[in-house]
Amino acid sequence: MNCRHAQRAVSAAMDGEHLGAAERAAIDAHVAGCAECRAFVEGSARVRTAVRIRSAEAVPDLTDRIMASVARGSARPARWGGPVRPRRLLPAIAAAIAGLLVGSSLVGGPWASRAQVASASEIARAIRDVAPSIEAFQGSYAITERGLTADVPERRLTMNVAYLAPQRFRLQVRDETAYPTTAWTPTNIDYVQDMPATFLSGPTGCPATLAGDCPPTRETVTQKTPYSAAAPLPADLIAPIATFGSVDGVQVVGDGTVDGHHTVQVDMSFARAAPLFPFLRLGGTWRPFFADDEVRVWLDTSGWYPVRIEVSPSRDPERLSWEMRFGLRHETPGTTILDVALVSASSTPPAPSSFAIPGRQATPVQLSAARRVLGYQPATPAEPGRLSLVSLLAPGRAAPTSVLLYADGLDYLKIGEDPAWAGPQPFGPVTLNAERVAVRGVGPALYEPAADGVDRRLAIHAASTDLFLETNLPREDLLAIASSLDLRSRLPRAWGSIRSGRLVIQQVRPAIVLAEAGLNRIGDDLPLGYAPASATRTLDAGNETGITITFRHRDTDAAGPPLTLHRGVADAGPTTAPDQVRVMIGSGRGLFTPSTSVLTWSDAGSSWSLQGDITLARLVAIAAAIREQT
Amino acid sequence: MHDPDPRTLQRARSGDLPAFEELVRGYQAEIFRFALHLTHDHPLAEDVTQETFLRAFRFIRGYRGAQRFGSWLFAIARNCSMDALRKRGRIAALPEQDARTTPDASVRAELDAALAAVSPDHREAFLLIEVFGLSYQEAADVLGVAVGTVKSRMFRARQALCQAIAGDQEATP
Repeated sequence: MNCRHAQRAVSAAMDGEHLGAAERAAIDAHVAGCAECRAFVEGSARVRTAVRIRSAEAVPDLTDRIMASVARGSARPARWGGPVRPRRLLPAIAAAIAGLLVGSSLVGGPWASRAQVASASEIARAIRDVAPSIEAFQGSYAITERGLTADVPERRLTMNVAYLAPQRFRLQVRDETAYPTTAWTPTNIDYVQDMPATFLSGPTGCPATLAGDCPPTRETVTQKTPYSAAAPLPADLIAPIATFGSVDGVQVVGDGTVDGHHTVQVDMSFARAAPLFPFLRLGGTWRPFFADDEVRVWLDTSGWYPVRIEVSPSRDPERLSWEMRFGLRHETPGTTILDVALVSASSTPPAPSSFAIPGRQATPVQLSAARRVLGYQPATPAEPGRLSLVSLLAPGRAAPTSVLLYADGLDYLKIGEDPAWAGPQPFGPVTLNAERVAVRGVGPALYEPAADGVDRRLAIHAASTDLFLETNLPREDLLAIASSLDLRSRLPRAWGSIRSGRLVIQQVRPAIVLAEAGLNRIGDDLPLGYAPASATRTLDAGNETGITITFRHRDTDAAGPPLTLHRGVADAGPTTAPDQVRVMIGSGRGLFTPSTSVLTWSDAGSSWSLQGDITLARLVAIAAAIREQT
Repeated sequence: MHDPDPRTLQRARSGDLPAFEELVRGYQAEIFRFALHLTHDHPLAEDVTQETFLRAFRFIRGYRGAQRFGSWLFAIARNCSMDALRKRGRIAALPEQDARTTPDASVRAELDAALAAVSPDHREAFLLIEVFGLSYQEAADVLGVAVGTVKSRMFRARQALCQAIAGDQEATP
């Protein structure tokens, strides 16, 4: 027993920590014979007394003041009390709320301006918090698009979005544009998603190189899918869960009143904001956008739905060559080329019949009758978190034989299963670029982050069955729910390689390939949130001819698209393309092909390529770091 | 530290304003006192208290009961206080003139002076545990550190305070 030990134990005991009888006795014995420790015991007691006899501070009753500000700034009364009406906040209260969100260097309150990422995180958390409580939504929007062609410089469209729990969505676009001739097909779109089924009716999409190349008349096509892996497409207009699936690349700019809503403004790139433009992916004619175009979004600070979304041309010099490729006139940064404005919003539940998909639907099955109807009992997670089981469907051929849908407001989890799956690759919408993850208590599985139009996915193979999970919940929640499945998984050896004649492409752990290539420190040079997801080795008659590593954002491709790094033998020679340009990578040379976003270079007997839909400057920076390390 | 009625908490979580008001009434005094200890500024502590409850209301759906409700509120109040102080560009200064005018002047002055000598990390742990009666676990939740760290900070705070008080005694025979 030394003094330090004795004094620490005395301190802990004073705070109610339990000491064993033997320890207590040893400490008492030590303190009795040690002046320094006695001084500590007596001093601590004196401090305690001094603290406790301090006169209590006069405490003001702030109830009215707090409740007044809470009532005016609260989420619920506006969002859940019926129609959302434009309202104006008292400046002081607006300032207090804004201070909460963006730091009041902007509004002059007492709150410090915090790091941007922290503020974006706060918004992301608020969105995650509000999502499970949203049961219904109806919104009308006015869309203005500029710069489609010289003949049609401006188009006006209206959009209606409706949602009803569980997981029913409708998106309708009506084109109000006065076209110069009848040869133009208006972009009228009807989309219904009654998860997992979807219905789409609209003109076939025009290729991105629109002006001139588009056939004058396009057919209206109708697609019905009994099972679709699509994320709830219009969901981000109700609460931008997918957009804020990661805060990387999101900047909180300020606050203000927009169209009567108190809002916070966040900026991001067009590629980053993809989930906010569900209508662009549903066909019809739309102008092209550059990946780095600037998107400004104003989110209502009580309901977190977008009130206004504006796109303007990027200042990136690369946009000029992009404009030339698309045959566009030069567009001035700062001008609005797409404007989506919320006209009205309400939480009144839409009629359930308005989500009906024409034709025969998948049959709902009672979970208790599953074995009799399906021939097997679907795997169900013992702990689905706050989600509850909504339906069990048997969508039929060319789809999982059963689909369980769990939901809680806008949050959802789908579990597709097929006990007879014997395919050469993972079951479900999971590719070989998926990351191999360990699911606690279950075993290895393949994970993919949210990507273009799909949410986070996990494929699990067990001896008796194959299943995949899809969800808009965060990665950790998905893995936690999966760990409560009563399964023991393994990854079939056959999934790990593809054979074509003498050529074999083998899956390997990214860490092994990175170590072999001397790229252990590559993580530091990747964009924020990226990690090595998967790797393959190419063998030609048993000799290695190349390695490929895919890096992905862990949460969502929206925060950054996948990057693929390939190293091959140098004598393979770089590919050539008409639009190739020479670039400097560190002190060496490289070639960039804009049409495919591929950067290539050669080094010490190897040829390298780095592919990713990010700006050339960022590709070059990563390539330079690789060149330095190898 | 008391716990709220779970039904009140549940109602408040679903956006019920009267239920939230009950929570405000139950906790505002403690939050105000904590803010005052951290800021040493009466009007600022009032602002911090208001801000704390505004923030609590906004995020109450996210409160899942993993920690005690009081700890959760204290943690918010602490962040609000830090933000407010950072904005003012200073750490909490001690209002010595106040101490000298109260009846407990000598004790307060002595303790405040001693507390001023303690590092901010140690002072926070000391305030939460000795002044507000939080357990090590609760203080750890508020401060976002491990229980062992709280225990150690508390011990160092006591050591420093004992030394300061002993020094005063020697200096004033």
